[in-house]
Amino acid sequence: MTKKKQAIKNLDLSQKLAEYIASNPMAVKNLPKKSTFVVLSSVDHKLNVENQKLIDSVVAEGKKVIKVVQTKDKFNPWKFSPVAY
Amino acid sequence: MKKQKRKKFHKYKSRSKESLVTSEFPLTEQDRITYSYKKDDRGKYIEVTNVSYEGRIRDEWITIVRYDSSHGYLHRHTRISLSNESETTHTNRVIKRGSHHKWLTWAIKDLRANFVDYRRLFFKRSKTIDNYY
Repeated sequence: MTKKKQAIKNLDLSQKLAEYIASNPMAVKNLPKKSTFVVLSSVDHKLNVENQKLIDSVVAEGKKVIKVVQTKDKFNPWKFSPVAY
Repeated sequence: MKKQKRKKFHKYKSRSKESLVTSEFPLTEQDRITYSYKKDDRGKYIEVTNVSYEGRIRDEWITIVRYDSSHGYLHRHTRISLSNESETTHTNRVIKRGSHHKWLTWAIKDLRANFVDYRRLFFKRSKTIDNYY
């Protein structure tokens, strides 16, 4: 997967997640305020492999990382897992 | 018979609480996008505070292009170059009408379509080669 494809796919996923967070502030209520969200897709395995490396590099920067996994559940479309903080 | 003027009683408007939401999303190891927006206590978007595309250049995160609606309309800020921290501000090809929510969505779509070009032009102005994309 090229870096450009990864960036575009992450832009799409981040937009959906940002909309969800805006509409459901309770979903991130217990998470640190200045977190970095790395999104994993429910269907794109190749993207997830690249984004897993991305999680490692962001953690190495010393940032608070939240791994967000896209689910197929209509009522809970995202699952939040703190990685490091 | 004189018509009585109806007195207008101005309803006291309680100040609604505003909340600032900021979310950072890495796109790759070398770039990321940050969203900041204000909402009122009813969940309505009040203002697109910032939507920015940032690139990691020489181990430093630099905002290459960002959007905000601080003056009541959406506009784009573009950093001039690596050595010049000033920004140019313009509304060329920027959505003029719509709600703040629509502006936020539009800014993200514009970045999706053009971030590689914004990055390429930034490196060109900086007289530096971009080996990443």
